[in-house]
Amino acid sequence: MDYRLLLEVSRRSLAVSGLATLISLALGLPLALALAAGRWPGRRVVAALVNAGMGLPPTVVGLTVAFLLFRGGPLGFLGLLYTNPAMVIAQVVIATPVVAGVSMAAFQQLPRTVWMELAALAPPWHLRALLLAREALAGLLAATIAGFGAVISEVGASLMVGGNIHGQTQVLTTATVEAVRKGEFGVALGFSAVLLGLIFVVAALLTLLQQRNRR
Amino acid sequence: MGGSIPGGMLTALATEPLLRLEEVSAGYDYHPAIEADRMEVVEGERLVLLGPNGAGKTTLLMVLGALLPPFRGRLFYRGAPLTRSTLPAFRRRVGILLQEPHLFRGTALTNVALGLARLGLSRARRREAASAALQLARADHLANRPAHRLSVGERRRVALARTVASSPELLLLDEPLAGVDPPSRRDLLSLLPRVLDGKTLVMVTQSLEEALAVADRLALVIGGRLVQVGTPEEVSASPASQEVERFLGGEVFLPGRVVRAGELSLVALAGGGEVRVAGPAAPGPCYLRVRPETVSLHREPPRGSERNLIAARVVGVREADRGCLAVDLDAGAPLRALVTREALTDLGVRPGERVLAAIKATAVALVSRVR
Repeated sequence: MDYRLLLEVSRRSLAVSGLATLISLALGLPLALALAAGRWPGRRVVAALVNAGMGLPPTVVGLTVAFLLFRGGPLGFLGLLYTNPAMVIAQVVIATPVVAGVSMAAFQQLPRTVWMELAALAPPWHLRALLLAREALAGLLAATIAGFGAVISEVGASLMVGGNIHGQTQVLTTATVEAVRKGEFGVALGFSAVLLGLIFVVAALLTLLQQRNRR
Repeated sequence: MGGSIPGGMLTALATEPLLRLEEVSAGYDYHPAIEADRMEVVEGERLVLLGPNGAGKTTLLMVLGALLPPFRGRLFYRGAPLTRSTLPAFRRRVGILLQEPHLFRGTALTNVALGLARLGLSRARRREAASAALQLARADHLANRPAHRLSVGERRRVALARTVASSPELLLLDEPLAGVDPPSRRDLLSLLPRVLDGKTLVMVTQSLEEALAVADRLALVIGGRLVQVGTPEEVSASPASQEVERFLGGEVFLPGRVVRAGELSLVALAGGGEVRVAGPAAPGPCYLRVRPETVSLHREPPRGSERNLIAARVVGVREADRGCLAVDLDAGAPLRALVTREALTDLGVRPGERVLAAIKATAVALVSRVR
């Protein structure tokens, strides 16, 4: 087993999926808040779409993003196909509904008195968002774990838009699939073990944060 | 007379009430929980929303605080309808204490500082004002305690500090004393004058005792309707409906002042006359709760009796429950006696005539007013 390869692929996986998770948090949390707190036309439709999006098949996402990024496609001029940014984009599409859906539920779970109190106290919007996030922290961390878990373990989208190019876009899942295809089961097991370990460590860190604030 | 109108009256005519509700119906999930034709909150007054559980008092308070948009009807603030553009200014001047106040993560002090967040003060000013508010609510010793480790009474105290921290001109308090043990309750009640400091107050309670201790005016909310608004003496003297009379226990409230405290406290009635009341009482303004069936009427002072006698004029006589007659009296303040038909025939009084109303020292309950 080539440890340098293992390290390189693991780092890429962590970077791509970590960045995708952060971006999906930036997109998903405001959306979740707007869905949980707002009264605007089409709110229910968007909420339904988000919930449906939580089950979005990565292969379908990969195919769609690939179509967009093909040289002849609408975003082809960017030249992103088979690059790490392409994988990030696809993973953001996968993770955002997961983050938004779980966060929306977390915000909606807050007691009515929290919303009433905020209405009465009328703090500026950024403080209001911060207070809500802290009240719903456990749920938001669950959303983060779910979003990260979904993208670091998906293979379809990464394969389709990343291409599993050695030294460039190979991530843990695509490397595992390739190893199995070649019959190198030992290598495949190695990649899998690292993937599991990675998920466990990240989840453990977030859990620590989540449970520290338990009342 | 001609010419001289008292200055106070002129300003009273010129100024709009602080809050006015018109033709309001409000509630949750399309079910109206409260209906009110018209209601005004006058600047500087203490208005108590009084009524049984589930009558709609909280819903009415939420409408007054613009936390619940009504199904129909409008809310006016100083004569102007409350709109999206005037709401922020309204929020800055109104402090609301919810029935179950929510304290956010953080210390008591950071929670109180949240009450100032809408004012756009500097961090230092916020901390300063928050400390002052905690002190006002006698909760400064809790400042650095985590909010979620406080007891119910402490939480309410911190929440009260948060409500008043911004020095609002209008305070809306929803059952500020509910779920608090009796000593803390008295303690919190005694805080009220310091906290109020001449501000306008609207307070929700289901306790007649609390209402009488606090209210300039009572607003009775029964069965999802605002049924009557008036001073305690007005409301008790002429209840708008049987429900109101029943909720007030059929009692009449006489305003007065404890002038001598002791075994038998001496109360000077606002309408003239003095009444001795059994039991100790703190000197100061008070309400006497009188049960009309314990009031007897006489033409001459009854001999050999220790009873309190108040001079009164008969205003009217009407049928009451159980074949009794209710005699409405004017004793400076409205009073009512419940007597049998025979007793009244023996007495032979007619409306307009003067009588002596006798009140037993042991049959009167005294409520000290919080001033």
